[in-house]
Amino acid sequence: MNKLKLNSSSITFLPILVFIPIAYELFINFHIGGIELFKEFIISALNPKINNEIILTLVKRLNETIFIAFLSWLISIIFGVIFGILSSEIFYKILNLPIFLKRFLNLFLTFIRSIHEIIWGLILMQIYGINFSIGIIAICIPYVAINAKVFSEQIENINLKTIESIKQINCIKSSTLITLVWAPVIETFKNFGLYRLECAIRSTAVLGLFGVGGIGTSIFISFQTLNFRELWTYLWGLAFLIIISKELLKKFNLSKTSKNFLTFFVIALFCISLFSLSFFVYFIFNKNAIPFNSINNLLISNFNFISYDFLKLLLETIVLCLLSTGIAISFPPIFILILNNKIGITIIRIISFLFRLIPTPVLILILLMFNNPSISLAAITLGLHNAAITSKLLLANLHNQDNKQYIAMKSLGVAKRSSWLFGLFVKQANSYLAYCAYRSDIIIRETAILGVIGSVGLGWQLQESLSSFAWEEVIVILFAYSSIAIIGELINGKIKSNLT
Amino acid sequence: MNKIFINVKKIIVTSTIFFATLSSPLNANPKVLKIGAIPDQNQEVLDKRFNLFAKELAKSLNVKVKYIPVVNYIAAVTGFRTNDLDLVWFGGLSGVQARLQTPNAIVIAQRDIDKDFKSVFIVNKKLKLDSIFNKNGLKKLKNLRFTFGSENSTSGRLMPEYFLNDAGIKIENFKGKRAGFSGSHDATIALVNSGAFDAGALNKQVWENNLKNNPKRTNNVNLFWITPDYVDYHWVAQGNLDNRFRKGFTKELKSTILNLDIKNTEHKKILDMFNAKKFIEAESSEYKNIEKIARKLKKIR
Amino acid sequence: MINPLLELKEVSYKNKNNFTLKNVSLRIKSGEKVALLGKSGAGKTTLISILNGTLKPNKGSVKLFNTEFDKLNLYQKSKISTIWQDLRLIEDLSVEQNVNCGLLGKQSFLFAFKNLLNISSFNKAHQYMQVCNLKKSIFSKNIRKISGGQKQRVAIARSLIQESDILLADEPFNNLDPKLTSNIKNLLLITKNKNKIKVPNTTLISLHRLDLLDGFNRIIGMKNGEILFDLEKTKLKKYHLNKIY
Repeated sequence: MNKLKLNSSSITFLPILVFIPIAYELFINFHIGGIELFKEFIISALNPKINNEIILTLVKRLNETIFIAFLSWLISIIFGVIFGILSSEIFYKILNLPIFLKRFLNLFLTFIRSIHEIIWGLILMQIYGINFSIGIIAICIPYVAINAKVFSEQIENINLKTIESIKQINCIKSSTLITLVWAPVIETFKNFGLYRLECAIRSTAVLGLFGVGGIGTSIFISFQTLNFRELWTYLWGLAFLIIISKELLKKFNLSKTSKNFLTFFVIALFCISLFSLSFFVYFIFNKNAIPFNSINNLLISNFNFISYDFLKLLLETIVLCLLSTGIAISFPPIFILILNNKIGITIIRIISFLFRLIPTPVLILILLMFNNPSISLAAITLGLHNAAITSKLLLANLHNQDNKQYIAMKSLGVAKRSSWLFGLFVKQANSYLAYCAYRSDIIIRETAILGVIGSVGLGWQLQESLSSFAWEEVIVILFAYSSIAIIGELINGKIKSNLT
Repeated sequence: MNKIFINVKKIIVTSTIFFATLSSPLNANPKVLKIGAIPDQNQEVLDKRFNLFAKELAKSLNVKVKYIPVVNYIAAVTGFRTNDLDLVWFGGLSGVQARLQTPNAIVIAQRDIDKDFKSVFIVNKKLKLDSIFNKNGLKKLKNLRFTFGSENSTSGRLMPEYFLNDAGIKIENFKGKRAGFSGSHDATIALVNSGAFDAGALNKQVWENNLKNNPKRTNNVNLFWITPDYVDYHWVAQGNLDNRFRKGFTKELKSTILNLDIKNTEHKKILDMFNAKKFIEAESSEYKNIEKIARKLKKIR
Repeated sequence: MINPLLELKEVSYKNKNNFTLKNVSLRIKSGEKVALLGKSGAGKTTLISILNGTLKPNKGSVKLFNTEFDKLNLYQKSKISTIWQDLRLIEDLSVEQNVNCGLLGKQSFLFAFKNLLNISSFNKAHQYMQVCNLKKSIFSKNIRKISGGQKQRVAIARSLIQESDILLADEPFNNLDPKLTSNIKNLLLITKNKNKIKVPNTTLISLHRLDLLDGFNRIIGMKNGEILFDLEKTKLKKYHLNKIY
């Protein structure tokens, strides 16, 4: 018997095995109770409610969403670059600073990004009340840390010898630093930073579900009242916003802009960063110490904790991560392999766009019409949402790759699917897996949102503890969360370095 | 070089304006009375109800009143604690939570119906379950898909869970070992009506309203049981309103609410929206029982 | 007696386990044109890195203008410019931006910033690039997209634009065809040129092609990290070269 060889392309297909337990659990929990509602939901997609009133609300909500998303995106990019530089080795090499500062900063950033923006939002809301700025700050905190990681990874790729050569020109240190990091920062911004705006819009929408404002609030409210036609008006509005923002950013080309505009742009960036910093400080100190005191009072409450099965929840969360990562990795290549023609690819594109568009909390609520709450249900929701994102990347990479080998194999008479697999996919497998490793970091954080909506794991407990204002529990849960996320990040780092 | 300086000027001006607009919600005028409510029903209904109420308050108290919609119960409690809301329409549980977290908060009033408030259990018609007459019948709900309303709702979660526990049913006895949280009373009806859940519990007031106004929505639902009564909704105000507005303001506020008269057409509109005939005096001591139950169910610790 | 510009005293450098420089002493005076000969691995690159201060010797002292290297200020240090064997240009910047980097030592932070934004003046850079036989068409190209010979000349232009007093060059004629080699060699060695650009008065160039020795007035031969001979050009004999190759 031939041994199954583990290479990166087989590893991308292997995780499909997780689908077996998921399918089993989904099957035994299946019911058709919600079929009427689901029919209504699907029909409403093509027949959204349109009248003057709702269009006005839609525009207002979209404005709020754009404002929160754009500002938090911009701030998180600016500070992401700054922290990215601060947490890269070059900075310490050039300024001759002790390296332990870097480790300290990295630890801090890892902690910050291990907690999902929704949870930051919920916590900030507890301290500062209902406030528009909370959305911006809640998105900015983890985004700054995520961006910082990506930027610093790119900056670390700079050849150390180039540093020496610039140092040898004997210019002031700040000039050396900026000259060296400029190109990687700009490149990363083009490849990664622009895509983050889409993420920021989506995060704003999800944050809205928890009451920060923007389109998400409307989506959630119309869903809760099962007003599907209204729901689709808002969802299509959100889709429109995402598409428009992407198209606009595609047109935005840094190297072709005129010099005056560039100066203007740089000064504007500088001002925004200064402004946001001052705003942040102002925000923290303006709301004087009263809320902090009341938090302190709450913390003194009784400490008879671990009354619930904490370990079980922890385990549930980890299983949920693994299952949904498996789906996110293996679904896209399998579906592309099966539906490998023009129509099939178009169908995949449309479906994956819908799965990216509908926020996961809403997605799980829809699936709940057919199934009892279970880990599998949460896993399939999270997995499908993320598979939609990975499939987009995979399709784009496959499209950009040159297809000489594919054509060569096809002309040799190899079957279309096999030639796709060996001619096109094999080349992408490594980078695809590396991206999936990064994606699984995000999946770990996203388990929090699903739990909050009320199905499984630590997220569920978090919502329960938050709604009973049990702060010591919240703290323990957050700690557990960030330790899972940090361990996950470490493992993924190892996987990634093995892949490249 | 000159051009750059012109740009700098422009940017300073724009960013100042920007800064000013952004920080304005933070320095909101302290002379505005901000009212809020827990989002237990359709947002449209709440918007109409509280905007009408705000107008009336503004007229008789001669201050600016603003209704701030809130998305969930926690936000309402937090908004009250952080002084973002001055007067809030709380449920029994959320009101107790809010008052425990906000020293000096004052109970202003409740509706006539809140003294003996009730919840209803509903089931989907397909199950062919007859209605029951005492709590022991609740055992029939075992192994069904069951949904509550919002996590922190008194009539949609706390009291139903309390009665279920009393009848010997734990959350784990439902299908999937967990109960759903629909988020609002209206959603509970819709979910049970559609069959997505077999059974649910909600506010009796909302149930009766739906029976009357939306018979289509309740086509497939049967009433299963009506719970014994308990106290529920009440108005809670911050304790510092006298300092912020004028001496005796809290008293004026209270009497304005209590004096809403069903014979006055303007007032009738408001009272109708609240499903009440009038508002009556309320004491915080009436809610001791709710607090006890909430502590038992760990919603207050 | 004129003070030497650069002075090494009994310098040793140890790279992990083996010495790449052993007890090297060297004095370079103003106006000298020094050729550094030796096989690959003889220690030429290490010597140059020590002369420009990139590497710190394990033993011995390095002096520039009679001052210890560590005590020099930035202005004094900027009197040395280097052409590296592996060029060390900044990837992803354009050719002219790379050449302009040579000016950073004399300019402020704002200049560095404007350079990156492509809004600084490139006149001087263009002048130096033309002197180095670079064609106008590649000035704004990305450094990744030009050939090895072109990159070599960009590195030379970058070091010349620094207008230093001492030029250290590590095999600067690699990748160049014979005609360009002689052009560039003349540029680096003949101080007074028709182009009216300032060329360092003192030069140390490492080589391994013996046919390029015209124009130098001092030859240093290295082997296994030691200086085997250090002579005026006129005194160089065949057997000297046999010792090092």
